Amino acid sequence: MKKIILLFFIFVSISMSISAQTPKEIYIDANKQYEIGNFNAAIQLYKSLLKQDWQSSNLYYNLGNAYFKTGKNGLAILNYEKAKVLCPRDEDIKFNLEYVNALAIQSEEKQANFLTGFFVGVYDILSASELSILFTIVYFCLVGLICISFFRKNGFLRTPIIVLSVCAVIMGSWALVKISSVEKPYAVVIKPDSNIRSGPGIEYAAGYLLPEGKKILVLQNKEGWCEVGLRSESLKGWIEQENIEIIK
Amino acid sequence: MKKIVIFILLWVIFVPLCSAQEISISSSVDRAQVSLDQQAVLRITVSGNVPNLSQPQIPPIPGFSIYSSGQSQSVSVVNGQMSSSIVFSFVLTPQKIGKYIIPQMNLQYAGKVFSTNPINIEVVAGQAVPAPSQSQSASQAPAQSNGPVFVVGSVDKKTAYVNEQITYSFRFYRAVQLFSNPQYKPPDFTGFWMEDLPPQSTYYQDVNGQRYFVVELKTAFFPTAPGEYTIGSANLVCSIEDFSSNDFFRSFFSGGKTQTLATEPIHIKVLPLPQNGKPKDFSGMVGQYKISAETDKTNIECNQPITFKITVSGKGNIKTISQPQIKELRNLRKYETIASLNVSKENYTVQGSKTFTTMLLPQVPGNLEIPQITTNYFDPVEKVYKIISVPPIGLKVTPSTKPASPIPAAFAAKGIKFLNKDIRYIKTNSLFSKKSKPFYGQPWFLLLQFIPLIALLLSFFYSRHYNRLVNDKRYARLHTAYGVAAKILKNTEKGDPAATACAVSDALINYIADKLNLPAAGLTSSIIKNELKKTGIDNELMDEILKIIERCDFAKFAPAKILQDETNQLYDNTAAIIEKLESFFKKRKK
Repeated sequence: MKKIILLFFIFVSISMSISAQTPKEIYIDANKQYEIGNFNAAIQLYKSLLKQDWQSSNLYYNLGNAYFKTGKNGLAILNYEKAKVLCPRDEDIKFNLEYVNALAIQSEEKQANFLTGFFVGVYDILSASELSILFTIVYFCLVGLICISFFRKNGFLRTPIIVLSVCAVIMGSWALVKISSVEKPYAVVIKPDSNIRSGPGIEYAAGYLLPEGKKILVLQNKEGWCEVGLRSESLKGWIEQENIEIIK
Repeated sequence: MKKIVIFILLWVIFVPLCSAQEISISSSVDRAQVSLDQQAVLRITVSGNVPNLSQPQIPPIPGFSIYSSGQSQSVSVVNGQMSSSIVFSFVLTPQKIGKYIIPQMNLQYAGKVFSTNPINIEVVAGQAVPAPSQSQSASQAPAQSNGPVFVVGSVDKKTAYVNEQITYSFRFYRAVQLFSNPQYKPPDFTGFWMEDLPPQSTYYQDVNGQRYFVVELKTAFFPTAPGEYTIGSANLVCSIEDFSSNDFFRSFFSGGKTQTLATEPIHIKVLPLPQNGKPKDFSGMVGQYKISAETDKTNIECNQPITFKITVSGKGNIKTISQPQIKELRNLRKYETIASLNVSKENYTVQGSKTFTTMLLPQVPGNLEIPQITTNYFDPVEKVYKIISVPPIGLKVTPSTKPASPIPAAFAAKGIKFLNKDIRYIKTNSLFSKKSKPFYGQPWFLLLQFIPLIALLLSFFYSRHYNRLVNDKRYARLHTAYGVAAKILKNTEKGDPAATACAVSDALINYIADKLNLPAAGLTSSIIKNELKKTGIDNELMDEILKIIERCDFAKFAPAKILQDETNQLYDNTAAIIEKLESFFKKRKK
């Protein structure tokens, strides 16, 4: 009888582990596949996690790494960008994104001057979600202090209120800028050498080629075509929707 | 050997005849002035019947090193008179500039000592005035010279384009035996790119009916710039049989004679390359060339290196072949090029190939292409510029399964050597969240932002009320009246009729006092009646209030006469009255 119970437990535990893998287990599995160099299997596992609506910056980062190892630089950049949205201050994500960008687009790394580099660094410290939470906290504290000040007229709360309101304004505008930039429909070219045409259709002449991994802004969609813009090069054109993927 | 045999024969025959003759000795040098790079020959002639002569002892001569170059003996019979002479030759090599004296030399023969006279000799720097007759035997055309040895320098063409091969031939003709290895001094090729063309060839040639043995040396040279040039003389120093005398015997027995032979300078005109039809990106190559290119593999994984070789081969100055440019390499990263040279000199033409090896690294999978590679050269034979090219090479690149190959570090930080540049490793921290709209997009988050605004409004208005309660006594009484009364009623114990009545009247009077802002103590029915009238209360309610107060007073002072039920009713009535008054005052306020 005891043996039967034991067997039952073993059976249950095995079947549980097979049928209902927790996301953590799938993730560990995927990392193992990556470790032994089976990058395609790792990609499938990471993607299955994404299909179950799980997400984390590390997941996107690892998926990007796996794509890079299989030579798909465009998809690697796309996933690094996604990871960066969730965790903009992560050095590894930044490093790999820059590295693959340099490799794929062959662009000279822009030598940012110290001041802009500093501001970009500060700007990248917090993600949009973190900024919105932080703003909410500051905002709540500020309102609370103001409420208290209604009942205590002696004015000792004035300094903290001024400080907090400055903080709230900074946080609020920072969060708004961040959110608007994150929410912009940026996309990454995921197929090598995609044609950019002058209109939505193959009949239009191809104006130029975009390298795989190029980050572009989607302006509008029309029947399987997207109008895209490159702000830094001030170019505009139409690209097939399947050639790009939106980051957000 | 032959000569020695003949010599011995003659000697055996003639020695007895000459035995009684006296001998004489003399010495001479072939030139009085010698330069450092030349040699002088000292001859000591012993004439007379000298069958058994040992070599004379030469004392060391200052400023010269001496070595013997043999002896020769001649015997002549004239009119039955026989004379013989032995010539001892010594080569003097000067070592220092200056004037020297060759001292007298002594020869012992048959108990007698014979001496020579001292000779003056001068050693000068550089090229001395060449000794007459011999060193000028060289001339350009073999037909002009009938000497036993002469040298000729010639070129295959006297006009050439820049960087076109000119072949210089140096020929040494000789009809006699050499006594030592000749020393060749090549001409001065300043202004040219020189290339030796081994091997030297040897053959026989007839010149003016005389058979000569010819040694031919060839040198290729390439002009580096247009203009007029002169190729200087080439020199050859050799030691040959002495043919200065037609004497049969002397020709047999003469020793080596050192000769310096020189060629005549040659003038060359170097033409610039024609401007007509010159490609803009002219490579500077002159000759005949072919180009080819190959890769070590055409199917490759992404990020694995390919070896790409471009070979330019042909005739011309191989060393100056420039690297053909690879234009527009798409998706292929190119590394430094290494050139290797393979020169051959077959048929005395400089030819060969130069191979440029480059590493290419495909960066994306797919069908890539190494574009057409083109270079050009000038053909000096046809006098036209020619363009040569290799067709594009297709590459099939599959996605990589291996980690990316090492990329040479383009930069090196202090003390750090970059061996491999790769992406950073994956992260193992498994902390997930369900994919959802970010906070700032959630409706509840946006609603949350309104809560503080509402709180702000509420607290603002409440603070006004609160501050009035604190500061305004009348306001405070007005607002707390109902609460106080309700509290008193609530705390009333219903067991004792007297206490109940007391509490009820307290509550009611206090309430009215608070509402009217009057002191509660000493508030009598009449005062209440007067004050309440001012507020415009209806009489019915007023009567009820007064009645309750009266009943309470009665109960207070005669508790025995009041039943419990009545006080309870009184309590209920009071509560109702206070409610009514509260709503009345609220209405009045408005």
